[in-house]
Amino acid sequence: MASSRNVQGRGYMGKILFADLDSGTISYEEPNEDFYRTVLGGVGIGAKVLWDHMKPGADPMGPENLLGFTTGLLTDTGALFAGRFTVVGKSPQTGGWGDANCGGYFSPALKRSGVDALFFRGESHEPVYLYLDEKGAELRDAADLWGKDTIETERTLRERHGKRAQVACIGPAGEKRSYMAGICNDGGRIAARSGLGAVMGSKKLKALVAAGRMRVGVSDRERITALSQAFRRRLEGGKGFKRVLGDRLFGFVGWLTRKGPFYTRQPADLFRLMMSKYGTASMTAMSAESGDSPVKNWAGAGYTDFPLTRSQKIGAEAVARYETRKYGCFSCPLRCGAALRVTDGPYPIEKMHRPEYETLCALGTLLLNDDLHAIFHLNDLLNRAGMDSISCGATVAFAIECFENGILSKADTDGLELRWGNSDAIIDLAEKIIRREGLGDLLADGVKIASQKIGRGSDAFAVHCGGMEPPMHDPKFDPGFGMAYLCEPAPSRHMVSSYMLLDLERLERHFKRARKTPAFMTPKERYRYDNKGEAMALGSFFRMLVDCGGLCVFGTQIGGDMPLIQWFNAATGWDLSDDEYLVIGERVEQLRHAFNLREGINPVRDFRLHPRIIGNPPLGKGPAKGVTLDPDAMAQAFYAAMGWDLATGKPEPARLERLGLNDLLSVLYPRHGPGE
Amino acid sequence: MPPRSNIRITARVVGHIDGESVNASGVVELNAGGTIRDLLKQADRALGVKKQKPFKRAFRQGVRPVVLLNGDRIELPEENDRVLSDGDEVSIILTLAGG
Repeated sequence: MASSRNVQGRGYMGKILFADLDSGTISYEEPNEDFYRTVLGGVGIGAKVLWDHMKPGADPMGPENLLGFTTGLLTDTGALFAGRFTVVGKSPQTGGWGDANCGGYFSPALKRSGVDALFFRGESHEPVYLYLDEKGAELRDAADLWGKDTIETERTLRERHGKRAQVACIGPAGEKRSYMAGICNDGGRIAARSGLGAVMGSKKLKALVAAGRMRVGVSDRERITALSQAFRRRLEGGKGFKRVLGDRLFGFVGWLTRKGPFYTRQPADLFRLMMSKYGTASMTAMSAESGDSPVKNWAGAGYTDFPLTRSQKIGAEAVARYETRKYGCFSCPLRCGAALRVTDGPYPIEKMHRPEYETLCALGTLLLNDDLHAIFHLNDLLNRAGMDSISCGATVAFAIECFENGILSKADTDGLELRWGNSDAIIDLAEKIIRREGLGDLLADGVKIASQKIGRGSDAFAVHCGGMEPPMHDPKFDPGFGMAYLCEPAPSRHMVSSYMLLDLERLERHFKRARKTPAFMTPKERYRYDNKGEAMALGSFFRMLVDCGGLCVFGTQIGGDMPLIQWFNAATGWDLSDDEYLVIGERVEQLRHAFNLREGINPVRDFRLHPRIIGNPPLGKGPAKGVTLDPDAMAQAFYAAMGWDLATGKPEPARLERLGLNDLLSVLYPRHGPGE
Repeated sequence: MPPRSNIRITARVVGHIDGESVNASGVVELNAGGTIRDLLKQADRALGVKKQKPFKRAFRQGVRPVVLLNGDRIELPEENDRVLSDGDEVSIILTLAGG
């Protein structure tokens, strides 16, 4: 049993660990309350520490890169959905800001070890892992673990340190420094994006083991409990209400949405039902059909190239047949995860996480692959290797298209017949990428680097933004995604903000500055950007708040009005307003952006959307027929809302001063004093 | 008076309606000159799913359904009066984004 809570606590442990892998030493910093009031926790701590402690120009794969693991301010406080940790560092894929987050049970274990965050600098000579609990931390030899896959590593470490121990580790992909490598926990969950597994591998850091028992204290425990209970009731209450009224309620709401003068949309409740029943896999077939999913390396249309008869083979119901149980992350009442067992087909798997939509699409729809058993096997391979399934699927798609167009031959592929939907060849190629063998070595760092090495016009098929392969949502379907892929400090992100995500989040219910999203959008309105920048920027600030709290974004999209601000205030004892929290969210967003600026990156110039993403040339068929997005107009709108100069990317000095980021001024405006 | 000719439209609805996974499709006969609005009015009955009413309920979910005519996106309610031709395919898709 965990020990009792610290009665003096305010949601945070007040301690940040720094491990120097060169010397093997461990030190601590104990920030004061102002620090937490400035950046809260989670990604906020990551942004602040990386800004303060890193120098520009550091090699992402060198000892100067700082790799951080952060827990949220609300982690283990009694708030719901608070099970995510964020990994931060300079991304080898983009050369700029990198972050990735993941759920499961690692985050609370880390916080119970008495730290809010820990950072690694330097490079170990030999493989090591960090063990920590509330008594302290030490680096230990990991020679016997090096070479093991993520699930085997976790099993070994939990046998060694007890079941309480929670493990985050890299697999062979990270060890081999593949830029597509992520960091895994809880038996194959993965903080996948930004290539931070490669950074961990470059430091010869195999794993973190957290086995702490210290509970963080909060300012007003009863209030947090009451808020969480009421929120949980609201989430459950909808179900009961629906059982009673069912179609009548939805019919009435729908009628109002269509006809009435009021804005009464309820999609979040539907999203909750879908997620609890099928998880994100629920979207696979319908997204392929609707145009949300990219098809055939972003050049096809689901309706004709991957029609419903095929996409349903990898859709929600097909996947659900293999479910053995549902599970939820720490403090999550939604439980959108599931474990699968595959006993039929050529690749039996005893236990595996249900593949997410992104995986099903990247290894299915994107490759015109409807072989569900192959996708299950690939999901298991990538989870064990610790590799991002989005980037891997996109890289395989790139290779197939190079092969189809004669840029790669059978001699290059070691005899593999790389064709759309050839699941055997797809599996073989994925294994080569994981092992960095033959063509796999060339592809293991993603499409940008692969196309630079291959040349011969292959960049036409290398779909990426700033080096990062885009996720499985086509901005031609929801242009909000395009704005986020292009302008966010970590490009190619699908969970920060988009029109659809804003619809679900209903920010106007929490923040006075936010406006309702429109009930309907005509095509003209959908592709108009000048009036969307503000909403998208607010969406980013909100997302930063969610990440600072260590919360799951799905908790904010399923209705029930997550009491985010009230939780923060109850945990810390502060009395900040909704607007003041948005300022913190913006501060973190601006810090991440400033990190990129300091590295010489201006997103609008360096994170260009690949022509296929924007529809240049436009598709001649399908839901996005004839659509070409205007990334410059998107950037103009977002930059204006963020106060960034389009040419330099620099934020307005007055804005930085308002956010209390005066220390950024001397770096970004070296020849001017503050305020000039 | 010449006999009234009919047109045959393939209609499909797919997605999640009230939390249930729905996939209904079939052929709907309309009078020549029939519109999308006519199709949506008649589809549930014509496909024998009048009780479940997926075509009707799809537009009462609050999310904007994606409507495809022969695979290309059209906008409803703006294009409700679009006239259909024999052999057209209309898909109603309810979709949501996420990871």
